[in-house]
Amino acid sequence: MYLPRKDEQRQFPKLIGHTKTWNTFNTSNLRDGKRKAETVSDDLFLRQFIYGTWHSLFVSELIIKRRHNMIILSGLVTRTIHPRRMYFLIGYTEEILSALLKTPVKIEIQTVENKDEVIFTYW
Amino acid sequence: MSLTYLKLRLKLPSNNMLVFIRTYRQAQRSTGPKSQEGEFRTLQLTPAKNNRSGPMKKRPKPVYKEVLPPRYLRMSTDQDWTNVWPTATTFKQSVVPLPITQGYVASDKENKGLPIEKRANAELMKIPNFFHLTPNHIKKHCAAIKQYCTPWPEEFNSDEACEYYLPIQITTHDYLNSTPSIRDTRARVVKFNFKLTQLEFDEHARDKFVRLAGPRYNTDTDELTLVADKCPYRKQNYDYAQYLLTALYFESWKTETWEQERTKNDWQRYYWDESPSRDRLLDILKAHEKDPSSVNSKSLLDRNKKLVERYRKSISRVQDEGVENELKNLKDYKNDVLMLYNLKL
Repeated sequence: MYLPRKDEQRQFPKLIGHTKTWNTFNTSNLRDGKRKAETVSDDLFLRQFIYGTWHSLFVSELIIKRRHNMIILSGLVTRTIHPRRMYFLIGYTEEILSALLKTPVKIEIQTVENKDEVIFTYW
Repeated sequence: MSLTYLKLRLKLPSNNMLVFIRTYRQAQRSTGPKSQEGEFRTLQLTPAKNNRSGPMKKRPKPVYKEVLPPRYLRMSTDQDWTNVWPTATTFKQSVVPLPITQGYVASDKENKGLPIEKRANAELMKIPNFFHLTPNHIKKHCAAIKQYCTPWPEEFNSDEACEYYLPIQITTHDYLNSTPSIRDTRARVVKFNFKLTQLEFDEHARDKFVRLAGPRYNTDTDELTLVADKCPYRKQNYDYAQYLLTALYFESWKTETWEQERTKNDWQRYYWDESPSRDRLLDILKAHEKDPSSVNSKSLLDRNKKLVERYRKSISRVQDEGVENELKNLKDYKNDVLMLYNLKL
């Protein structure tokens, strides 16, 4: 049986750092980095939140980047809903997450027609 | 509601008879159970599950406005990139006019063996990009900051000049984190760095200063380094380092009473004036004189000043300098001693 595989799923987790890169970027794991545990738990919360708010819309894993005080969320989203609704979702997530995490949150997504565009190989 | 059949009978030259039957599709309307004459018809206000007509109707997917072709197709080659990508953002494949690929393709089976394009490529979005820091960007940044800058002073045209005008170097560190908090305990450290030639010393003061400083003094570069990190705030550490420096300096000029008890083991260099070698030399010179007891030691030394100086220098060199020049120093010493004894000869 053929199963579609995205590039994410095709590269195993052991290849992170080799042919795959991390989904979160922050300074907490550098030498003398601060706030390691809180960053990880914030990441988990963010992934769950986005998964629940954007119903079946995200086609890739959520990409979380931390720059200074800001959190920047990225990903690939399908165009199943009306653009007006997508704008609302963007604004809503940004507002709610900024209020919850007390840091400016920005969303920079790219859209994709449907899930098939991200399929890269079949197993 | 009648079913219509059309039968066409084609008479072909051969004896085969072909029958074409064209049927018209039945209209989609609930027929309900075929009621026979006299049967009671049940009232159905809502469509029941059993009387579903035909297959489930698929709601037509709403077709939104067609998505425009990507922006990079309409970009001219001499556009101002600083306006297209002013700040740091994630990679936008429709805005970047370059054919960038990213991804590992193991064999011909995957993606037909082709490198993975930038379209719908999450890997490219993960990595940080520097499209917001092209040379044109930097030029613009510099031009904007320039109005707040003053020109480099002409006096600072060499390392020595800088050292002369800026004798002391104070180093502090600032740390950035990708966290909501700007605090970092490592930022409290303050380092004072300067050469001892900037301060006024006499021999005793300098020696005392170096002894008090201990490992903070670097003999090779003649530099003193004071690192203050005891206090929680940078300002406190700065003030403490200043205080330390002042205390060190003024303390080195003071002479305590117990410093007079210095023995030969404490000498940091060979003091010929206090050494037994001087007494010996005096004895030799006195013996040369006719009347030993009446001669003053000082006048003796003054009379043979040159020889005494040579002797003093050579023996100090033998005592002070290390193994490298030992042979040469000993030779010089031998010559000077012989010259001294030549007096008698």
